[in-house]
Amino acid sequence: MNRPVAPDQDRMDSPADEALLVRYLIGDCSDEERTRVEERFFSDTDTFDRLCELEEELVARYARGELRADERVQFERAYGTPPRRDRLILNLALGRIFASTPVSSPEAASIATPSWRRWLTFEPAAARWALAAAAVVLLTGVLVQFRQAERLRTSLGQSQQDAAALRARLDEAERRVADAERQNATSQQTAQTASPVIATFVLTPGLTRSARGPARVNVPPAATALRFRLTLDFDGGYSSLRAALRNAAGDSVWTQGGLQPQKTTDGSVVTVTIPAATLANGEYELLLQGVLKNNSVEDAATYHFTVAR
Amino acid sequence: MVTSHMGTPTQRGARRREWQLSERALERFLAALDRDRDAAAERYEQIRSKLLRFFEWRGCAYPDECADETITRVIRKIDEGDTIQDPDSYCYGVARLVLLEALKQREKEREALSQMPPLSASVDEVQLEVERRLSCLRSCMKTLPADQQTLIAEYYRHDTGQRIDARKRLAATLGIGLNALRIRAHRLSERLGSCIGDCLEHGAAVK
Repeated sequence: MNRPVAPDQDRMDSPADEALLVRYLIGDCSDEERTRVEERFFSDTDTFDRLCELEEELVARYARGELRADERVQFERAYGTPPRRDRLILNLALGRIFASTPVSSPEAASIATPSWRRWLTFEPAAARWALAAAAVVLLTGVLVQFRQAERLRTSLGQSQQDAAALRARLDEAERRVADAERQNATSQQTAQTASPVIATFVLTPGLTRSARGPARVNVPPAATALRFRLTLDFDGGYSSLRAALRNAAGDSVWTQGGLQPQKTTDGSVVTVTIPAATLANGEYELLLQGVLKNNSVEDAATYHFTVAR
Repeated sequence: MVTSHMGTPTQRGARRREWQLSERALERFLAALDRDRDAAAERYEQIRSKLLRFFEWRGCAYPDECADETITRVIRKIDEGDTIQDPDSYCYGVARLVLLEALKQREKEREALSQMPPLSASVDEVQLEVERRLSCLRSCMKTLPADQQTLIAEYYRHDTGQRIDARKRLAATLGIGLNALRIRAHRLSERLGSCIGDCLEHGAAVK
């Protein structure tokens, strides 16, 4: 068992080898080929890395419908059961949320980098230590003379930095949620290949202009209707719900009554479908009202969005 | 104490009596991987990462259990005096045996499962499953510390065509190797996966 395997010349980086690695992933290779791949990736981390990368590409191609029919059948067989199925779904969900978000790499990465490690990567080394020595001398003098004032300034500066970092993180998180919702809507609208074309969007209540701005609804040119899944932040208690759409001028442009919430794993939602022709570019407010048993009506939730074509 | 997950209860009991994982055995194992303790720890993570994928790709239902069982057996071999020149290849050899045992042990279960309609992974159903998890994933992300949120976001941020280079840059920025980055991301996604499972099970967002 303790034998050397996979000689160095077997790098598995030719196109034929890559094809074999893909076939390995979807379970379409002989026992001999499988053993060759496994011996190789256990002894060579580059091959293992490449295999992991190919798997991600395979999953992405599958999600985009780019696999050949035979590949797709094999893929679905290989990934049809846990734990591979679970990882497939998790990877797709992570990709959906984070893929192609606005560029912020250097700042974002620096958040995750310990300060001492950033210091150690500063080059050249001579300059690094010279700077360190100078900093020590300078700081010692400053600390002796302005110890108390420095402490206060440091405290204030730290608080400001913390607040700024917190705001940045909050903005980033909100941007990610907005991106995910947009991407969600985009992916669903691209899936609509047959007519009529209905683009679906998810709206969350209470997203006011002051928070992060209204959700942006990009209307595909071919869309005949827009379907909104309105997530509810209340438990119900109404005999039915009615929706009223107003434009920025406050004019009512569309209404619908008799709506009933649906229970989903993500909570309760109400789905409304609005003709695309009803919506011009601009901001809208969708008011959801609850009809009580005595037929009186009360406001239940408000959704804001901006239409762009 | 690490105990064997495989075999019958009687076999497991006998194995426990014969040998138990000790600190000394673990030290010997790490020393066989590398004389430098940090490098040995990194090597261990690499091997475990490979084992996890191997068992997953070969259809093992519980890759983590099988990976741990493999490593425990290798540690035992070293503790009992075996000299291992190539730990990765040796682990692969042991892993194949563990896989065979695991598949054999689960044969009856597989037969029973084969009578049921297979789970489907059609594009539509997978996309539906992804949709179901998005809300939970957002909630679960909030449970991670900010630096870990950033790491997982950066890890998955780019389209697949650009991901590899982007991850290399991220690893360089963090001052770690690509494999170490992958292991960190894998751990975080495992944690998120577990959190999402809880979230779906309880039908509510994670606080």
